[in-house]
Amino acid sequence: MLQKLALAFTCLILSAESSKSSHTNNWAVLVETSRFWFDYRHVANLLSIYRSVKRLGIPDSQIILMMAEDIACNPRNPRPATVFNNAEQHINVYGEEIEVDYRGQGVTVDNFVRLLTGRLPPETPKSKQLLTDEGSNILVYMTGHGIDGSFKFQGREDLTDVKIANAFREMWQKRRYNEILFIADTCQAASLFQKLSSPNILAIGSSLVGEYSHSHHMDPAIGVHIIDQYTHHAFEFLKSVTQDSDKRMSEFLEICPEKRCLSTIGIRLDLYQRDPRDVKVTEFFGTIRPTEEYSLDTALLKFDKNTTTVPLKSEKMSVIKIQSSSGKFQYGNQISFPKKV
Amino acid sequence: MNKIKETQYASHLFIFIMLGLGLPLWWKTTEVYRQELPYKDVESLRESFQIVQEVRLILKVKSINGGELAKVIAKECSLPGKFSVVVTPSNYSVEDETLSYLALNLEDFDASLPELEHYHLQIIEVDKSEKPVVLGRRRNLFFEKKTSLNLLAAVIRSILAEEGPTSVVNQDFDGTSDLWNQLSKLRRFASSSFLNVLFTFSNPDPELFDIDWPIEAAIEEYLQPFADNLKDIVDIRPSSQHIYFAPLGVTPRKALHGDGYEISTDLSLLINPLESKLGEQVLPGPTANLVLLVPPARFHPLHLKNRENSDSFIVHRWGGIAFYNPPKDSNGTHWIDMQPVMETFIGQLRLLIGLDIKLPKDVARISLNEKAIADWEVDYLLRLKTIENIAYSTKAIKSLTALLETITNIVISNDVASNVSSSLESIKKSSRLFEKGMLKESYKESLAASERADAAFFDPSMLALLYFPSDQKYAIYVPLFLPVGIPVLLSTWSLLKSFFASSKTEKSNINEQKEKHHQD
Repeated sequence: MLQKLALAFTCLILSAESSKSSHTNNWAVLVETSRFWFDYRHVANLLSIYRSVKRLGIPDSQIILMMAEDIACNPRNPRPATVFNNAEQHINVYGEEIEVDYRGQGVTVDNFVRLLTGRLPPETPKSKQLLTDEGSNILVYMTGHGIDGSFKFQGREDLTDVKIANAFREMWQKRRYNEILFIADTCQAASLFQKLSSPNILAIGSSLVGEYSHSHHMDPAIGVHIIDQYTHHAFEFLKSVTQDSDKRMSEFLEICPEKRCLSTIGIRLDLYQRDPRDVKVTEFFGTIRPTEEYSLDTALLKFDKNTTTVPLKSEKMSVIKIQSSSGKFQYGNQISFPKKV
Repeated sequence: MNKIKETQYASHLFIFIMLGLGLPLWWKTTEVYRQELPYKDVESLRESFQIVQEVRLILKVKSINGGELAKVIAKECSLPGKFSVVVTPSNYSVEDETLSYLALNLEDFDASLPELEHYHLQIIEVDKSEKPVVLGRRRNLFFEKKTSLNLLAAVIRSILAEEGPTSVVNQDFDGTSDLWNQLSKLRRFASSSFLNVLFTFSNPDPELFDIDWPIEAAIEEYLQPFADNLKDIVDIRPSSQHIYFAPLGVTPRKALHGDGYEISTDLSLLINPLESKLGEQVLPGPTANLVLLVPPARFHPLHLKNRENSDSFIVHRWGGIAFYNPPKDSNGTHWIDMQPVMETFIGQLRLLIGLDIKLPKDVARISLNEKAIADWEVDYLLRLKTIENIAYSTKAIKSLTALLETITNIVISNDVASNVSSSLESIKKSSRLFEKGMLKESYKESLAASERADAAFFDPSMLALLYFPSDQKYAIYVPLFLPVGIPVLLSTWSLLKSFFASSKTEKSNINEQKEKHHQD
């Protein structure tokens, strides 16, 4: 058994050896902070990434979805319960199964910082907490309105770059992550990660300081822009990624060239120790669940006790009675008839 | 003149009130509430685990020289700076002889020996055993005259958790260190005072299979004795549920050898469709999911690729999944025989709490009955988890105090301060008890230390003024104080001017008088 376990684990390590991954689980924190109907595209951005990440395997229990505006049930939505990221309505990114953890007025700077640092009140349900450990790779995706050095929440509050840097610093102190991929699709996105100082963070912003991020196209049927440039290209790229795909992060970093996206992508690699050419895309967008086959050591565990079974069979019916040796729990006493052929 | 004097007195009063009373009051009331923390004491805590554990063994011999053997074992098993092993040699007492004579086999002998009080482990020489070293269910180790000393020492070192666990705990997560112990650490749940165990029975085709499981009886019969033995370490809280129509995440292929189907893909793909229906987030705290899966009807019987295994697998830090293939012909409700199922589940649970001891070859173990854990394994877990807790809480309070020292505008409430102090106290106490070899007590203290450290680090009040940096402070208070401040400043300026002017005129008056007198 020892050899089998060692073999299984060695295979796990060896298969990842090519990219030297060291994480044991994946989480995603997806945040959208704009209100009102005309910011339809931000919700479509968010849900496009949500769908990609779910398709690649991250379960809802490991995704924290913060959505400030409920576009799908907005009274101005002519196609209720749907959110599309394409004017041709190919994919309903809202879908049938969606778990929104923080919605509407619950998407605040306070909640976001508490979520990252783990300082939520103790009565918070587990689905709203970020229960990461030292082996977790976290994808943090933020979309909404941004200005130089801060990110707007609900049109009123500001999440400054200092706060983001402090939150990540505290996460590193408590070893709440292994690596973070931080993506911001806002105006002047690169300003959000300028103050970061904690290790193992790969940061991508859809525009540099002083630039706007642009939307991709408008849906004339509903009169609002339906998706942003950066996320549109990211979504198209992720469509081609499968759970066992070998695509690397270096390819992901090249997805939105200036002549197509109208803004320059800002990337911060200095805090990230590995070469993006060695890192698979699924290390952040997909998931890993270490499993090992278990073989029962029958020589070691041999239970003596047995619940009493009293089968009584006759041609017409069988009565089975099971009870535990203390007699406290009894099962059976059912009369059943043989199946008619 | 009088009016000027009056205004001057008024200005003096305003300046005094604003600078003498107002400014200190504002400074004091906008101060961040920060309780004193024992920074020096925390800094003096050592990062890596450096406690010398005292281990007391008793050696019982029949036909060899006990004194010499005791000395050699003590030397071989002691690790300077970590373990100081003391071995007390003795010969078989009359009682031991009688028990040995009456015992039918080693199992009986092991069961009948009296409980150890002062010693951690009893090393007993026996005439004959199936392997050179046999480990009992309690705190007994049996060896033969011809057993090699190296093997004996190696086994004792493994039981005492001398290598491995301590080395892993101190490092930051590092994928390149010792593979075996890394695996063990990734697999087991983090140390906590309780563990929810959720037994789930998944039947995707209830209209075709009428199966049920007597889970309450199984928990009472098989899990309870195991949980009772673990009550000093972790409080196991069982619950159970049925789920229906959960899809199988993969399409199995036809088995290459034998009949039926097998899973050829990555086992982790089975977990997601199941997990969304489990609802384990309802249970507060860490939860181990033990799932008994009935495969869909068209894939019967279903096995794992490697058929020698028991059709089950463990998911690290999550739980375990086992397949159950019901017999083809069953009339009425088929009740599952829980014994093999619970043997599998409890075996998986043992690994998930950290009972993964690497023993050398040529070591046999007396099989465990439904107690499912040996007494010396309980000691092993206590040692492992105490070390883990002490290292964890040390790191936590050290990084917390470092954080609080650098970021000066975080509130430090009374709760945080008292948690840090009591965590520090508990760490020290636990280390002292651990040094004396008092495992249960030191584990309790270490658990308290890690819980307090977490309570301090994750205290919600610490974020209260965090997003109120000093530059924003000025932006808020300047518009309040400036309208009042400007007239006061201007009057200060005019006061000073008049003061210097008057002193100048006084001087010139004095000079004039001097000249006058001079002239006179």
